[in-house]
Amino acid sequence: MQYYEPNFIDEALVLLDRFGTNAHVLAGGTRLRFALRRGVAADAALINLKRIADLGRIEDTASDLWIGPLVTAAALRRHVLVGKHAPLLATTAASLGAAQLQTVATIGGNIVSADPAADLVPALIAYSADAEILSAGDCARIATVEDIVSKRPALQGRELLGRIRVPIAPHRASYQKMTTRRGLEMALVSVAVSCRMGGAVVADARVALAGAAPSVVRARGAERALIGSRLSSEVAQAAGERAAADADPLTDARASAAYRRALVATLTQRAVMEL
Amino acid sequence: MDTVIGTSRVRPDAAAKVRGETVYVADLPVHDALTAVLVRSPHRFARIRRLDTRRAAQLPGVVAIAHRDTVPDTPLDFGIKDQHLFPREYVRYAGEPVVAIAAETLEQARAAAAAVEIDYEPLPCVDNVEQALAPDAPLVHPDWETYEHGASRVLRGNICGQNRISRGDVDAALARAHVTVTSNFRFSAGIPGYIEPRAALARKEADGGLTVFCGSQSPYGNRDDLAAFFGLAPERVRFINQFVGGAFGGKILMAAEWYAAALALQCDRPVRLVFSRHEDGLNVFPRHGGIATFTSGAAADGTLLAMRASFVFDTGAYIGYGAGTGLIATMLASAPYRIANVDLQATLVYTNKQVAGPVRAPGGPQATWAKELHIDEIARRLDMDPLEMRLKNAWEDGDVSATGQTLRSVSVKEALRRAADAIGWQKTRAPGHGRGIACSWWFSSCSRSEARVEIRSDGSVHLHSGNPEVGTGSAAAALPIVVADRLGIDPSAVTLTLADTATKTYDSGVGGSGSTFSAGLAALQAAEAVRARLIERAEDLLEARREDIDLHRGKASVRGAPDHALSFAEIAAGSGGSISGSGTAPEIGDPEFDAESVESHDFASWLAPSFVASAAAVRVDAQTGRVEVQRIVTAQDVGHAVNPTGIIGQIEGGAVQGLGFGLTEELRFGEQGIENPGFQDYLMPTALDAPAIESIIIERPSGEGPLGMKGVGEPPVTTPAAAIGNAIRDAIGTVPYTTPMTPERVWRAACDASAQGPSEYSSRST
Amino acid sequence: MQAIKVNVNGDVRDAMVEPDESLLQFVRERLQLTGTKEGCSTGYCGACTVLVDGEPVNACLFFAVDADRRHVTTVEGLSGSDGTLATLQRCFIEAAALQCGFCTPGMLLAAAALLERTPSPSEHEVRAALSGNICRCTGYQPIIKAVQSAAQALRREGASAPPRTPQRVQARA
Repeated sequence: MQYYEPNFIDEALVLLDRFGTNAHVLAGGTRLRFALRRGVAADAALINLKRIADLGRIEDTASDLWIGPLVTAAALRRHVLVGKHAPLLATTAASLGAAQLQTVATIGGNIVSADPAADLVPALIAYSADAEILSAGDCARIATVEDIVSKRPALQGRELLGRIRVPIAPHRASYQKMTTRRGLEMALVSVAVSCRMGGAVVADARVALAGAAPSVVRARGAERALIGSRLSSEVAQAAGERAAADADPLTDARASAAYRRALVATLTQRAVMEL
Repeated sequence: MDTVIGTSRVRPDAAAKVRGETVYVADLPVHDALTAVLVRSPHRFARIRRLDTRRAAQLPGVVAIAHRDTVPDTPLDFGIKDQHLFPREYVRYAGEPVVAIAAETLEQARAAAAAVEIDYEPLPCVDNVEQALAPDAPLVHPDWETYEHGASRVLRGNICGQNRISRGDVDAALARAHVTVTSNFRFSAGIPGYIEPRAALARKEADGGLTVFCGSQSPYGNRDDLAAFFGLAPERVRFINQFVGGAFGGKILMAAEWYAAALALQCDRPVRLVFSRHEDGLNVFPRHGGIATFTSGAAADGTLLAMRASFVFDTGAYIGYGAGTGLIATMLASAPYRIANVDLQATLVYTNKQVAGPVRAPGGPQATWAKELHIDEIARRLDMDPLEMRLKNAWEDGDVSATGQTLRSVSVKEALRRAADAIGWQKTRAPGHGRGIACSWWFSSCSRSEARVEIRSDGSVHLHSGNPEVGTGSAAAALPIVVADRLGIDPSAVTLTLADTATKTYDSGVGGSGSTFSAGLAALQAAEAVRARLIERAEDLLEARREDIDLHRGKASVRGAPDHALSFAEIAAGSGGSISGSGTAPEIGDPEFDAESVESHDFASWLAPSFVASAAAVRVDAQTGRVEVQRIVTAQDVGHAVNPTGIIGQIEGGAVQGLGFGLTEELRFGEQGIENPGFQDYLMPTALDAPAIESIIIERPSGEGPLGMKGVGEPPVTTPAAAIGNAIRDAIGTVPYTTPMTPERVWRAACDASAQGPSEYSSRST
Repeated sequence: MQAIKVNVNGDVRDAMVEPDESLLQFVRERLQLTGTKEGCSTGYCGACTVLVDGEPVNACLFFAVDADRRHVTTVEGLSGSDGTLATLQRCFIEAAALQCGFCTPGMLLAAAALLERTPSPSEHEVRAALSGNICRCTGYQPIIKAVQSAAQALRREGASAPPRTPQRVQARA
């Protein structure tokens, strides 16, 4: 196996272009470790991104919070700018695995893995986040996080996830996560809700569901139930019911579709009540 | 003499453990050891049409290959001779080891494993207990009729164990009962959950003997089994036990040891086999899953009149060491209650799954959970307080058990009352909050155990016991306490040699809540012998009468003249350099029972029975099914608390294992066998899942054995899940009759209760 | 093979490692520091927890190449160079916070990382910080108590101690 530690993004993109499907990108490495154990081609290349400082920064402008894909869950938990502009991201980062995983797991990895129960993605979708997708020789293109995680795989072989942009605006947000065990488990279902208020009325709303569809998705029916309403227990219940109708959950070894749908309703209702 | 027994103290092995210096098998220096891997069956049930290792043997680095044709043809004997070390004609579970390979490197061993050619003819499988008992079921052992088995064992098709306890006339009593209640339960298989995967290092010695470094619960028993199988004299096989990273019944039978030994006997190099967690998961001896049905009748005042109970346990592909589960389950089914008419049966069946084993309190959590939820269902039907119901029917001194054993030193009511008081039984519950209680009994084991205590010329005190230290402290903590107490020294001054068969201090191993009992009594006897010799020598050297001599702080002194004293070193010097004494656990016969009351049951009376009750406080979110266990109290009668720190450790650890059994732990089986062999989706409780735990130690000395001890390790894992289940029903009026009682199952039970009443495996009481 | 330079428990170690080698293989097999345990190899038991620049990681998942030019603390590095047990280790012994001892090294390092950042943790904070470390023996209760009493002792010690250097940070944990 060949090993590279590119210093610049362009260098990494050239390597990705060169090795194509034989390139393995190392960021936090928690999922890559499993992929490597399943075996890789002899001419595979491991491309470690750690030297690329641009990918590890958190910065804000007047309108946006920019988060590099190498930013870890631990950093999201603690960074003052995240706490200020996107507190739900800090909350969800704190529920990602345990401390050991938070030290290494990156926001980019959480997006690119496109797991239907990924911990950080619901908050990003609730915040209407988008991200740069980079590839050699091309201009960066921008895609919403919801679109990125809906693809299998999330990125093409020669693509690299760039910075993630979270719009800055006054908002209220909350997060609900259900697991079988209380620690060290991905969500059966989780719900992230973010609202912009116009006075006492919800001006805009995003409801994101994890574990409720083949990928993390928006619950657009629930959003419509919220927009234009004044928050109340009736509205919360209606949002929950609409979210359950929006959900398209699977039955697997961890939970049945019926249970997941019921959780979507309950957790959405609770998330709205918490706003 | 200062008393050492019964005081809390620091474990002698703790400092090395916090430094990371403790050596487990995988930490042993490997030097020139070969690395072993196993080729496992991918099929749950298949005929082996062809097995060819010639190509694998040619590959670089391959030194030894073991399989059905390289080892003796003798079947292993666990009461039924149904298993060979390597499968011969059939593989019977996915993950069953078929070939073992030793090579210079792991990569080479894996390459060779991939080159082994095996043609399988897949066969229809037996998935579960219902299928196993179906009239047209495939036979897991088509040749079962040819198997030899012990006289007390039942073997008939897929049934590989059956026993019964009966007395009185159950049907007549049910007919006159004020209420009769039938409850159907299902419990899942689970893993022991030790964190250290199994490992072994085996080496052939120049004389043809064999040395095995292991992390076992039963190194002497393993040594005997291995020597017998390979036709070696037991004294030429040496098992050297290391510290063990948890066992919980899962390390009684050999696993890695067998294969490392089979390979090492073929070559002149040590062979090291360390399981990954995944492999350990495939090689596991799980807790039995199965089903149970209870029908009981009670009078209007709550008196239990009759009980019919039947269990079917899924024992997997072979009987292994799992037969005791059925025997214990029938002994637990109606206990600890006075019920005049009982009919209690347990059946073990073969399925195409991993071989179930004696996981900590075999049958205990399952039977106690089912029985105690059933008792609560009866109490609710009678509109009676569940605690009052239990107190009304619980045994007292002089009562007889279902098998006619007269019970002494019975403390179950005290355990119930103290657990109830501590949980706040009488306090009102907030909505969604519930409290539950459960009780049971258990046995002590006094099995073969030997110890030797030696005082060397430098005065140091050495203890040899064959009892392995698996983490409980039964060897490392409790035995030095017993010895130190007799010799008037601090336990930290006792140097313990870990179990090593070369020391020839036989021990039956950790199991049956009997370590401190058996090994403790052996150590006590050895220490008594040394004490007598010390005093005898001091009598001459100090010119004092023996009744005036005290052993205190490492010295023999004359009472009233503390300066007139000799150190152990001085006494030893005057006795040819050392003083030693040996001890053997006493043979204590089983209590009498009524042989007419049992069929095919060879565990029908229990030595020094112990009693235990747990109470739980929970909060249940019926909308999500989430159960938050806030507190567990366990009150346990230990007879005589030799090592209170260790006892509390057993109670607290048992509470959380019991919680895991009750709420989250489920070994799942699918088309490819075990679906969750790792820790990723086999959900053992984390620190966030564990509740506050209160331990109440009750000391009602047993009449058996000099210290009045009762077994400690297993009882506290039996009652917590039952208490939690009853607390869930107390909170929301219903509880799933399936373990684990996961959020989804609790949610479903709550949905069913609000819709159309109880479904088959859940129950609602109003 | 890739060259790395890692400060392990205060000693700078130069080594050649495979690109996909785990930090667990590196410390156990190359450095013979066997105090770090392999329990599950998947990040779901925490027995292999070590600190990298003071933060806890599962050494089984961590890439050895990512430890290049960083500080790694294993259980062997917790006690002082003269062998004195760290406060946290002492508290584990006194609280009977271990039985089989297999989870103990990882548990100690997860706890050390917590106390470094949160000197007065609540019980819930302790439980959350240790939720990546499975203990099957103790039921966790004595471990929680040990960490809380260590926190208390360290606060007392800290009140009278001079400012900490990085080396002291490791020795103190």
